[in-house]
Amino acid sequence: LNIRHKITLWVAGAGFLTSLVLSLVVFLEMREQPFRILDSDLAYAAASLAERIGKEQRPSGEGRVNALSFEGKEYWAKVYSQDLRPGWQSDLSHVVDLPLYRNMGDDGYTVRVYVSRQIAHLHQGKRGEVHFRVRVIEAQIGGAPHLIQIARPMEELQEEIADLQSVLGMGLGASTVLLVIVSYVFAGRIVKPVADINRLTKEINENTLGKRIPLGASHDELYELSDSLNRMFDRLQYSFAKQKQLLANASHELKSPVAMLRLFFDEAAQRKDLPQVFQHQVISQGEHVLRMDRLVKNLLELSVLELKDSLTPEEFSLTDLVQSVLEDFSLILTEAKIRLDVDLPGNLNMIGDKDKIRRMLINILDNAIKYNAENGEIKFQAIERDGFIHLSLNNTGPGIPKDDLEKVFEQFYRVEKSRSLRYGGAGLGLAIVREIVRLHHGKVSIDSAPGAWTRIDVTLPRHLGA
Amino acid sequence: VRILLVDDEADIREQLGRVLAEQRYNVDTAGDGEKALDRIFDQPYDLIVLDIMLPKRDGLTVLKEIRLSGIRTPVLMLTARGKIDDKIRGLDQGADDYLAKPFSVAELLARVRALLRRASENAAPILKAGDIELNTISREVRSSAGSIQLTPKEFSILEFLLYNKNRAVSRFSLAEHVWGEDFDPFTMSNYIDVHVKNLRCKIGDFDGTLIRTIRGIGYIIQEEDR
Repeated sequence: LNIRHKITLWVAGAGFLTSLVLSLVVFLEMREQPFRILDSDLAYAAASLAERIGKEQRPSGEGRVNALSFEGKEYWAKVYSQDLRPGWQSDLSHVVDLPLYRNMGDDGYTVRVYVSRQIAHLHQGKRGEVHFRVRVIEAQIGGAPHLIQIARPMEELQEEIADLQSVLGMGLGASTVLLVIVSYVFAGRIVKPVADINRLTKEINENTLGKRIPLGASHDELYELSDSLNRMFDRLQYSFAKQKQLLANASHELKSPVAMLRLFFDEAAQRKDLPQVFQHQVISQGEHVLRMDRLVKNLLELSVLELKDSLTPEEFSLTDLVQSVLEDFSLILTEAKIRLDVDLPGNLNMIGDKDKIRRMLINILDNAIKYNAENGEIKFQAIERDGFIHLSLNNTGPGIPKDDLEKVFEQFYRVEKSRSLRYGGAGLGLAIVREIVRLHHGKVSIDSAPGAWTRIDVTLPRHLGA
Repeated sequence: VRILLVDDEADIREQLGRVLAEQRYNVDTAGDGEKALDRIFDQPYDLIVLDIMLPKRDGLTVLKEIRLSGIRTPVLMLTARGKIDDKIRGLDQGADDYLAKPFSVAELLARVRALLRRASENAAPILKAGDIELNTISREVRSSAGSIQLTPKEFSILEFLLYNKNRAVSRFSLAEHVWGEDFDPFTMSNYIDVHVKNLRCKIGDFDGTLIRTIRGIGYIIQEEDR
């Protein structure tokens, strides 16, 4: 469930609850309202009935008021004396019998009766049922207290309530759908900058540290977040640059002392008057100096590649370049009993930095030879497809565990420490390859498993900058 | 033969100065660009070894100035590795060769000798040892038995050993020289022995008396000058 859905769900849920409560209140209020009107109507009718009876006859007399009607509506009415002796009653009450409840206070009550006979103005249901609203009211007639039981049929009130219910239900449904739509659209608008931030943050890596998240117009929390992230990238970029500069400076400063040491050990090795023990020591220490020399050179090269994003492009034949590099390695391959299988088109040209591409080829081949097995094999393949040159180099050997694969391009990463100690400057070769490929806007990847072939794939655009 | 060595580090001046003096060169030194120019305009040299990073005037400025004033003395530039710009600019402005620091003494001596030979028009471009003659320009190798065909790598090894005659040359320096600095000399030096073995066969040095092996170090071509 993503944030957009969550927001939609919460807003729509809250909206639904609110409108549900509102509808309930409205429904209850609307349902009570007609009864109150009816009750006061009945009270008014009772009062006017009492007045009329009082005027026209004595309460104990047998005189009749035949039709009691207000605004054309028929009322059901019975008049009782204090001791519940029935007195006057309306026509309808002869036909329909309604129960008398005296303890209802000021409220009316609803009664359902079945009337078998069809009577005009009495809106009976299918089985003759009629709802009556009944009130029992005390009134003074002719100076004596009486009880008036008065009622009216309720016509379509029940149907109206059912209508109200369905209308409210539909309104509730419609408003919920509307809420879901509106809040979904709205949540999308809220979340969009977050998605932008997310996308850009993913895009920014070690090599694209210069990128920044564009700031929105409104200074809201997301603006702040973008701003904070940008500041963080500033700091990262600064420290990355500082670290690279440090590496460059350090390797540059190391050059002179190492040069001094090399000269010293070169000369010391020429001396014939040294005791033999000492001479051996000079030679073995000299090896360490050479290793250091190699390391400093590689470090310097790597830092120059990292700091200066500059290439010297030219058009050259990759076929010739590969062949000359393979030629340089040829005797070594024979000596190491490594079988070489080359699949190379005869006319592969490209535009790029020839010196650096040569360096890259040397480094990956060097790697394939160093970490090969006795009587091993190397397969080199180059093809051109869709404006890209795909180089792949497969070699036998101990293989590389899956967990280490990504790290082989890191500086000073060596899968097998002891084996690499025989070589100088190791641990930087593939890091240099990665930098050269990056500068050419290409891609390099490695695939291997313990005991399996190791495969390095390099993809380079055929025309740098095209 | 007079050589001017320009480097801002006193230790390197001293060390390199001694190495060159041992090879019977006459060595003057200068620690900055201005002193270097003073010396160059003061007296003629056969070769100038010039570091790029110098106080007061840098190596490229010095080079430009001496070329502008018509001095054609060969110049060997010392530079930092990876600074391809320096290399190109140096060669554009009339440097004859360049060498990246740190370098081996053998490499320096080989370059110095090659430059000196190229510069002196009357000196024959031929290096000799025993009955072997190597022509550095036509790249031919002859012995008393006739012409010898060498692979480029074998030629390169023989030439390097001859330039460093009477000095032990390590496998590592040989690897650096033969394959260049892009290759890992630690990998390549393991295979120098194979090349030397093939080379010895071709020049008829089957018992290793001309190219002598020095255990733990490398090889030497030793011969007293006659």
